[in-house]
Amino acid sequence: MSRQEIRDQAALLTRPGTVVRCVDDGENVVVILEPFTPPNAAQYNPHKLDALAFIVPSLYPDACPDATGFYVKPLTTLLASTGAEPRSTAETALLGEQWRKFSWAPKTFKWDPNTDTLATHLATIEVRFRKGD
Amino acid sequence: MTLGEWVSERIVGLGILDRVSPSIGEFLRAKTPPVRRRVEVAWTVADRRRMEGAALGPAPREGAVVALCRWSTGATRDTALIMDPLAPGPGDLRYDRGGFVVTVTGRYWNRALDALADLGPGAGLAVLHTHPGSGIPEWSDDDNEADTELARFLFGEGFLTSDVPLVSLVASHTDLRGRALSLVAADRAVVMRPIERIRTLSPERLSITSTTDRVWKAGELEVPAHADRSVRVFGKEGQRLLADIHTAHVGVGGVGSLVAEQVARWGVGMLSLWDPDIVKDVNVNRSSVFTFRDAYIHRLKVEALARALPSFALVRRLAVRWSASDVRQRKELPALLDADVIVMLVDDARARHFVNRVAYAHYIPVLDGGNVIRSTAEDDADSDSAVVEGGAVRVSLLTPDGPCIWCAGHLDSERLGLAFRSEPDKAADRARGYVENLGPEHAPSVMPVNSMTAALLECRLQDILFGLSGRSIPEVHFDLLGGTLDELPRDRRKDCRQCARWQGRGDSAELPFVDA
Repeated sequence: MSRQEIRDQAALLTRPGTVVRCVDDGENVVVILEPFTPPNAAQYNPHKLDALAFIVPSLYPDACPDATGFYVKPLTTLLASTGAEPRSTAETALLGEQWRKFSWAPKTFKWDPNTDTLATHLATIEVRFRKGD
Repeated sequence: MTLGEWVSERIVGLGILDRVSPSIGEFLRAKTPPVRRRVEVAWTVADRRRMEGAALGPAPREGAVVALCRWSTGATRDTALIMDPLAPGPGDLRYDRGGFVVTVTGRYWNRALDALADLGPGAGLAVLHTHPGSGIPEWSDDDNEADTELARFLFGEGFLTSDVPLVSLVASHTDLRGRALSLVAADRAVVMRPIERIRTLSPERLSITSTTDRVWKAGELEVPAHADRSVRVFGKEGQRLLADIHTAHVGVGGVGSLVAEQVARWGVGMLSLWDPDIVKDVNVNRSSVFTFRDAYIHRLKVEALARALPSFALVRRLAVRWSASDVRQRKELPALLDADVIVMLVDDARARHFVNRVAYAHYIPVLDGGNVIRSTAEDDADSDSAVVEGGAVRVSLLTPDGPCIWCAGHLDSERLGLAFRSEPDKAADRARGYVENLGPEHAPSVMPVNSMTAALLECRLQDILFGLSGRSIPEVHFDLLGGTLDELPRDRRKDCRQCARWQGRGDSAELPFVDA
C-alpha cells in the first residue's frame, strides 16, 4: 500500500470536530487525530486530548501499525480519579516534539493484514483508554 | 574479455565510483560498452512437466502447448518466467503433412489471449512444440516462418505490447532450446534472441542447464587443476555448474561472510554482496575474513570481503559485485535479479520481507538462515559467569511452490511492524521494559554456532544444486543444547498473501522498496 493509500485510509478516521493529518517520518507515516476524545473520557484529565498519534509503517498492512503503543498530548494527561500518570506511560519524542507515549502490547489482538485496517487499530487503542488505569 | 567489459564488471559495477564521484561514475558508464544481455527461461518443475508431458504426449507426432509468461529483468539477463500451461483441447491443434506436423490453431491462440486479458499488464505467451526423438532439436524452416508470422501478428496487431515476452520453445525427448521473439515496429522485422540457459525450480531441486545456444566466453569451461579434490566429488561438469552459478548474498556479517568465503572456495563463479555495515572490532571473533585492521580503518564489510575473495576463490575469473546500499532500493533490484540463488542472512525484517517476495515473484530460490543463543549474560557484556539456556540454528529454503517465511511463521505483521521502529525508540522501550520481543541490544554470537549455520546453509545449497537428497526439505533445525539436527515440516499456505499472491509475477510484482 502506498503512502497515499495510507493517507486515504487515515482520512476515514475523521470524526465530527476531529481533524486527521498524516506526517511522513522516514519509512513511517504518523497519523495524528486532533483533538481526540477518548472513550471513558471522564476518567482522564483533561477529558478531551489535544491530539492522539500512532505510527504506520510504509509496508502497512503487511506490517501492522506500531504495536508498542501510541502517543497523546498534552504531556500532562492524568487519571482523573487519582491525579497520577496513567500506567506504562512516559514522555517520548515524536516528530521533534514531546508526547506522552502509552506503551502497550495488546494481548488479545493479533493483526491480520487481510482484514484489519487503521479503524480496527484505532479500536484497539480505544480499548486501552477504556481500561482507565 | 575486452577492456571495456573488464572496466564494466570490475570497477563500474562495484559502486565505488558513485561514492567517490557520481559524475565520474556517470561519465565512465556512458563510455563503457553495454554488457551483452542473455535470455533465460525459469519455470517450476510442475509447470515444465505439464508442458513437456502434454506436448510430447502425441509422439511420434509433434505436439504443442501454450503457456503464460512474464519477464524478470536483471542487470545482464532477461528471464522469461513460464507458467500456467493451457492444455490443448479439441480443435486447438491441427496436423498437416501426413498428420505429423503440428499447427497451433487460431482457436488455441484466442483461448490464450483470453487468459492473458485476466492477468493484467506484463503477461505474454510461450509456446512449446516438439520434434519427437532424441538429440538437440533444430529449428526448421516451418518453425522460422511460423515464429516470424506469430510475432508479426501478436505484436503487430496489438494483441501483445512490446514490453511483454513472446517465447518459442522446441523440445525433443532429450533436449530443449528456445528463443524470445520481438518485433521492430519500424520495419516489421522479427528479432529472435536465443535462450541460453534454463532454470527449473522445485522444492527439491534447482536445475540449471545451458542450451546449445549458450555463448561461452573464452576459457569459461576450463576447470582448474587445483579443483582436483572437488572434481572428485561432482566431476568436471559439477565444477562447471558451480563456476556458472551466481549467488547473491544479502547480509555478509558473521554468518554471511563465512558463507560468501566458503562458496567462493567451493567454486561458485560470481558473487554479489549487500551489506551497509562497516567492520567493527567485535565482528572479528566470528568471521574468518574480517580483520582488526579492517575494523581500525572502518572498512565496509562488503568491501573487505570483495578484496579478500579473489585470493582464495577456486575460480580464477571470480566476479564479485558489492554494494553498501540497502538491498530494498530500486536501483539494486536488477543486480539481485541476475542471481541464481540468494543467500539471506540478515536480521532486519524489512529486508527479509523484500527478499522473500523477490524469491517467489522472480523465481529465484532463497536460502534463509539464522541462529539464536539464549544466555543469562545476553544483556550484560560485563558478566563474569553465564549459563547458556538455549540456542538454535535454522536454515529455510524459500522457493516457488514451497512455503515462504510468512507461511513458516518466521515473519509476521507484528515483527515486520517492529522493524520500522527507530533505534532511539527501541532503546527507550528497552530501558522502560514495557515492550516484549525486542531481544537483547547486541545478540550473543560465537564462531562455532555461526560456522554451523554457514555449513548447514551450504549443505542445503549443495543439495538443491546437485539433488543429493532428492527430497523437499523446507527447513533444517539444529538444537544447540540437545545437539540434535532435525528437518521441520513446513507447509505452504495456499492463500498466503506473500508467496501465493505474487508467485511468477516477475516485473509486474509490487515489491516493498524502501524508496517506493
